[in-house]
Amino acid sequence: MKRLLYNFKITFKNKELIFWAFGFPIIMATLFYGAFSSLINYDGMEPVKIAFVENEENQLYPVYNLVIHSLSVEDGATKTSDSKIFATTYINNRESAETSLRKDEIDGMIYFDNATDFPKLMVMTNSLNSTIIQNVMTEIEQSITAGHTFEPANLKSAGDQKMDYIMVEFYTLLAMACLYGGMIATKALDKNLANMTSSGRRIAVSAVSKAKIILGTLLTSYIIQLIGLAILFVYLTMVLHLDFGPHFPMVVFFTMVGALTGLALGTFVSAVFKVNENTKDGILTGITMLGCFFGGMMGPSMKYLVDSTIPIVNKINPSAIISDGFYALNAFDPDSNRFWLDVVSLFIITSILSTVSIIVLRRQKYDSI
Amino acid sequence: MSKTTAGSIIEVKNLTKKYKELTAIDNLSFDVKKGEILGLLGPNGSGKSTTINCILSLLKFDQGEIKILGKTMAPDALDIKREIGVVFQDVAVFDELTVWENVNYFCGLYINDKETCKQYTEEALKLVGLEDFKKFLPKKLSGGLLRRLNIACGIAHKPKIIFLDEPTVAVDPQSRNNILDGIKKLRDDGATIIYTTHYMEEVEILCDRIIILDRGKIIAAGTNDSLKDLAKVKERITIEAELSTKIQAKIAELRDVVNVKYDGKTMVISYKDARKNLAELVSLLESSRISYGKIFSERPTLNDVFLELTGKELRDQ
Amino acid sequence: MTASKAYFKIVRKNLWLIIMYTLILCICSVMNMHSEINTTNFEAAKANIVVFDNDHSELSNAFIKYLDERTDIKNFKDDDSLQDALYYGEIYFVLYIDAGYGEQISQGINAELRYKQTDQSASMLVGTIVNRYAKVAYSFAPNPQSIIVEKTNEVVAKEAEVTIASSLDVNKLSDLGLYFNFLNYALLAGLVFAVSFATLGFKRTMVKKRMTVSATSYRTTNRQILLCNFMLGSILWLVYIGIGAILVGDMLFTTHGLIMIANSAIFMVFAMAFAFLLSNLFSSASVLLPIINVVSIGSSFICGVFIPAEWMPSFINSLAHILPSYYYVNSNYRLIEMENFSIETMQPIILNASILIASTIAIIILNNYISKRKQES
Repeated sequence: MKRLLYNFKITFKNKELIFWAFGFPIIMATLFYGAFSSLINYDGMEPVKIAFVENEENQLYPVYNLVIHSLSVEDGATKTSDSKIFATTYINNRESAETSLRKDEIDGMIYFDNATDFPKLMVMTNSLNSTIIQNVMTEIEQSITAGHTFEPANLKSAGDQKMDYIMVEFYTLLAMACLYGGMIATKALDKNLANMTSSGRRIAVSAVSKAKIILGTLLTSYIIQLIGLAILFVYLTMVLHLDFGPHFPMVVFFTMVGALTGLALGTFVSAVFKVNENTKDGILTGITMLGCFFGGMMGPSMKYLVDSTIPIVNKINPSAIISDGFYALNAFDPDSNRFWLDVVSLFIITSILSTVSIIVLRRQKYDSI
Repeated sequence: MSKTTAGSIIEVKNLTKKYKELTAIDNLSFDVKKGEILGLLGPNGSGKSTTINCILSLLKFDQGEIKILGKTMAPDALDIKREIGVVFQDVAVFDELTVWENVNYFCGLYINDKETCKQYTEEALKLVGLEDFKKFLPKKLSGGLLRRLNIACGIAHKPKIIFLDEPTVAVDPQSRNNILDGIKKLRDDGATIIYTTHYMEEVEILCDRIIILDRGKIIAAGTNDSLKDLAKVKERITIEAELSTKIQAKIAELRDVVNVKYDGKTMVISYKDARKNLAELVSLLESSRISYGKIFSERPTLNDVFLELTGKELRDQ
Repeated sequence: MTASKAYFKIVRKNLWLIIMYTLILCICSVMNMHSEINTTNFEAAKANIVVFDNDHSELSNAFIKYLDERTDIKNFKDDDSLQDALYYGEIYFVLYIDAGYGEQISQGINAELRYKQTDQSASMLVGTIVNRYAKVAYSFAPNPQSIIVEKTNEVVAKEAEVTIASSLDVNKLSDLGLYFNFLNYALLAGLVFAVSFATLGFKRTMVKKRMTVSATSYRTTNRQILLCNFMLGSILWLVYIGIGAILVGDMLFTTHGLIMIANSAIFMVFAMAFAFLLSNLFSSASVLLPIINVVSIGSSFICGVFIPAEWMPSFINSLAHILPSYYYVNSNYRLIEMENFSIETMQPIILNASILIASTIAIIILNNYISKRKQES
């Protein structure tokens, strides 16, 4: 017990390590939240900017004018509302409109070629906004062709759960926090290894078994990791108000499993790589960031791409498995095979990393120290 | 329990350790008697630390047997390890713990009882003179104090056998004397000590027996006096004077003189026997009415022994 | 050039780690480029959808045919993989046509159609396409299905005529832009990592002490190390450009491509100076690495590398203006849409480049100042 307390003190005194192990995920979460906040707290998009070239000689002009006017926001409005999606500039000169289009001041220009035809749309490139404009014009054109307006179709949503696509970023962030926390184990373990530090040598010749020393060190590291993750969770749920779904106890359980995998990874790096401290940090960070990339941190679609094209990569990638587990908890029942498969996968990875570490650490004597 | 050489607490037989092409320890055999201070003396790279690390089961070795307290030493021989204390050459403490906490932590690796551990910690700090620095962090200590802390961490649990691997490297004279006094006290309290160094003055002061190593081999072993007897030169007299060639020749013809060196100011005369040489020399100088400055006599040092045996100096290879 | 010799010896010692990070970033670049879900170049017509037809009537068949012409209809084996595809944006829309749909419409009942979609705008546009056929069909009810189909098809065949004014190959330019934007992350992470690690060796206390008492001024040493950083950075940058050449092919050697290369070269110099500053401020990898990750990932996110800038709130866009990455990425976005190259059109690009160069100079000056202060203390 006394040794455990000393271990805590030794680890917590490394302020740089603690700050970054705890603070790095919080900083990243804040950045993600800032970047995605308009998607998370969606309050309407910006109106599509169009120019409507007036042409009173065209017989369809009044109809289009009326409809477009009804779909346009008030002058100066910055958000769409109800069905008003356009910010329309009425212009009587086609060339001016085209100039505005080329200067990227508008997304599209609607103009009439001659007296009888339907109006045309000119855009610079295919984009979301140009498609919106095209859809509206198509709607009007079809309505005129049919000779009547259309009642809305009876479309009903079959989805029972609203899942935020952006949450994948935060799932991978949690994965990163779990794995990056392994650095605590790496640093703590190095202090106890005879071939890494002088204090490790002193401990190696002491009258306590190596297993006890290492287990004590790892237990301390794990507890510190969990403290860091708890702080992160509080921040994500209470400050950023993110929703991890209705199965929060399972989320906590799964995070603890993820942290254990991070611990095993940190132990593995410490035990197996016979390099200096800086290089070990580099290795652990590299593995974690690469795993997070494949898990979807720089774009959720990356995870899907890897899952569909080279699935083996994400089957052994702890970041992706952790991210997937959180997703499965939210998308499916906690009893689903998917979630428990992720739990089992993490345990397998943890076991393999731990086994290799034990084999290396069991080494009682060294070739050189 | 197997039979040991009578009174031997440590037995090393035919120890050999190789690093690829280099033989670090070459068929080394020696024993350590209970209650003695054994000095391992040798230049840098002679194998002193490697020998210690092999005995402590930190390093693999290619051949040989090591017994401590009559039992074969192994990494998991915790009962043997309980009786051993080690002071490594590198300062082996936690930067994050205070002086008191460091000693208490390492003592706790040997002593389970909390109160006993606490008591031993206090005693160890008193022994090395660090009572006033209990709450200091290691980075606040000078080099000498840090070394004292290093020692305290190694001996706090009152081991029967203590390994000290060059404990006074880069230490100020006051701290060094303090350390040496502390070691003597430990021996007086019943510990057996294995002391490695490349400072011959220290082994001359401290050690009951000395083993001189070079390139992993024992080149000489014995007490301080018996080793010095190995030297051909038994006495050396140094004199500051202006001496003519004639007087130099007369001095060279004195009884038992084996070598004379004169650089114009100082003459060093080496004798193969230490019998009334100083009196004879003074007599010659006075009869020749030669005035002189300093004159002193010294016995051969272990460095002389080493130099004669290997052709090298003990220090600064 | 004593410092330079030592520098490259340190690089050689850590080479495998530098190579590992470079490989990681190359893999990331390649995979990012080949990700089919390209959120910056939207085309609803190419959207993937899934249709479950339990009706198999004349109307439902015609409906599916209409959808097939405008979207990519996919099949999925099981619900779980469909759920994944929907969540991760591989599929934008799922439509369920229940049994009896055609018959109900024929009788004038506005039959229910169930659907699933994502929050993404593209998904909503697909919904518009689906809604359109359904409501047009219903507008011709009640009628036999054959008549409804005939009239509906006639109406939905009418689509607004669109002219694309730009003569640019937007898809290829988007790929080019995507790659060079990703280089923001690659340069800030990989290059900065490589250079910082190489410089860390000079930051050890005892080494710094020796250098302080030496006869060479800190300015000279800093200059040598900065030059070495530049050499190392240039090599890595060339590797990234080489990979870009493989990925985007000829596009790299168009005017757009060459200007983007020049832009990335300027940014590379900034990244080098920034790396040197970081390694001057922090001497331990356990601090450097998270900082590098925060800066590279954070700036990439808020400057529009991983997600389009227009998706982000205005205060984030404003905040991004203080980061040099913003000006690098902004130039790339402008270049993607640039039809012609003149002083007028290039002005914003030149301004962005000037800001980057000014940032680099500012960092070098700051670095020298910090070195001097550290030496004095």
